[in-house]
Amino acid sequence: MSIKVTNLSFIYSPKTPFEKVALDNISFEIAEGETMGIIGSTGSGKSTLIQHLNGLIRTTKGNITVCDIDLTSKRPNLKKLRSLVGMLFQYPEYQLFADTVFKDVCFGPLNFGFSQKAAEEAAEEALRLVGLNFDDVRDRSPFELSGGEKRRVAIAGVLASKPKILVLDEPTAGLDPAGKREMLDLIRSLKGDSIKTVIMISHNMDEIAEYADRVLVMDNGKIIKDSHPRALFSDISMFKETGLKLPHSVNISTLLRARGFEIGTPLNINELLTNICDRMEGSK
Amino acid sequence: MDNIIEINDVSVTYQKDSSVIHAISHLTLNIKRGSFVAILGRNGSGKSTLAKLLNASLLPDSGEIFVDGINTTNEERAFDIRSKVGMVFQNPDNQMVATIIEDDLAFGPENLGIPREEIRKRVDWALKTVGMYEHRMRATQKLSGGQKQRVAIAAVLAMSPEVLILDEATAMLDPRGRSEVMDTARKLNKEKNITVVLITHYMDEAVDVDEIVVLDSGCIATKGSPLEVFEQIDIIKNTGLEFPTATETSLKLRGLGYDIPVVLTDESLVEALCQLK
Repeated sequence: MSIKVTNLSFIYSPKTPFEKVALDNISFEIAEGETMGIIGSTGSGKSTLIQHLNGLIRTTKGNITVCDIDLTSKRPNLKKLRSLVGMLFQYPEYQLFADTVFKDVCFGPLNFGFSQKAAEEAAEEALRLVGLNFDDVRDRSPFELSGGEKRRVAIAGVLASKPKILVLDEPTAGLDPAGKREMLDLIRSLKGDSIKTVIMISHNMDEIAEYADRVLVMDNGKIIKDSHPRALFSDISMFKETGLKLPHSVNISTLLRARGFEIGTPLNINELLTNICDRMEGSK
Repeated sequence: MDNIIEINDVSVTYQKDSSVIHAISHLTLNIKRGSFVAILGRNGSGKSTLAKLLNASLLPDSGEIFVDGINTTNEERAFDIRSKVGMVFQNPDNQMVATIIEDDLAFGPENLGIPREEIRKRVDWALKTVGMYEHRMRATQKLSGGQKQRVAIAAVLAMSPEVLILDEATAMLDPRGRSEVMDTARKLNKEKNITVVLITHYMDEAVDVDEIVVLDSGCIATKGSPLEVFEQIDIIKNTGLEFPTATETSLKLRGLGYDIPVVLTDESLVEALCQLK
């Protein structure tokens, strides 16, 4: 379930006055099992990149291979590709449309050729996976659910088609703190059994530091960094130029370092606490 | 300071299926003129309902709300209230009415029948205030999210408001856009004495406000200075909020027996740790 992108470029409205280079000669690979975070300011090319991964934008320059599907070939099997790569857009609750939750979640698998029975089974399983009470919600209108519940239904709609790779564009945007936490825990729990690889765009550096095991940093259509979060956040020079922020734990450790108090690069609050305590004990 | 907004025992209910939901329940709150107030609470706690009550977009089922002394149920004064209380919402694309930035700003004052020269003055002033004057002839859809929200704030400013309500106005923005909007709001509060009511899910944005109001099930769970509010560990947890990272770290260190104060920002945590060392 690996993804290989080689020398990918993309230009919006080419050969017009509105020409805009969105992706500029990008190459990277994602191995099965990775949770990859993608960060970068608005307009850096993140969404354009992920829309390439399931063929919503056709490759015009460069190569992409997803599993064994070559997206640059003349007629790639897009149906197979899209059932492999589940895509959750920003504010996915806006794309709910059916009159009941159950019908909404069945829509994907039915379109991928599941039988009615198989689609219903997949929908039920997906709704349970995202932590909704199936009997409670199946016949309700998705529009009368809360914001967090709607987003769960939207995710179930993607999961029901049994993708192997899950691509999420800002999955926690607009959620309250508890909703954010639940969403991230859900994504973490989904990974393993059926979902092998997760790709997640986020503006929240605390989230990226805690949940991603590899990070791509995009700026002006280029990948300017591709590394483990600890290595990434250890080198803070880049953050001033790109308009990105450091995660709080890293910001605190950086401020402490400037005061001669070295605690490494903690990626979450627990590491921060442990490192502070170790350092305090050590200096006693 | 006098109160720009007074909310007296206000309730709002609506029907859902066969049960009655109390969106706002017997809420009493005063907002001081010129203050910067953050409203926190989980989804469905009544934050946005409260915002709508403040500019008469929604009227209470019981109780009264006064904006600068005007009762919001006074229909004849509804226009006055709405020009005194301006709102900026989550999605910048939903609140742009024109294709060119300065036209977008002129829309509000034009509807009030304000003379042309005065509109020109107001539009220029508002755009300069949010730092978008040099972009005034650009198309609204070509802006970044943070720029769009600054234009939306400028459109509110062109109405000469007393109160600016930001209803999760930074939720869809990247870190740079969020800073732009928050810096603009702070500047308007400090320099123009505009009262700011900030509804947000980002605890970071609430650490330097004058007052935090925490809503839960349509009632005020607690209110006070950021420090007073974030020291109430049980209330923060029970109302679905979280602590700023520095605050949580200081609380946990205190739990482990370290003698440091409860802090709100990364900088103050570092300061406290260096004192201890």
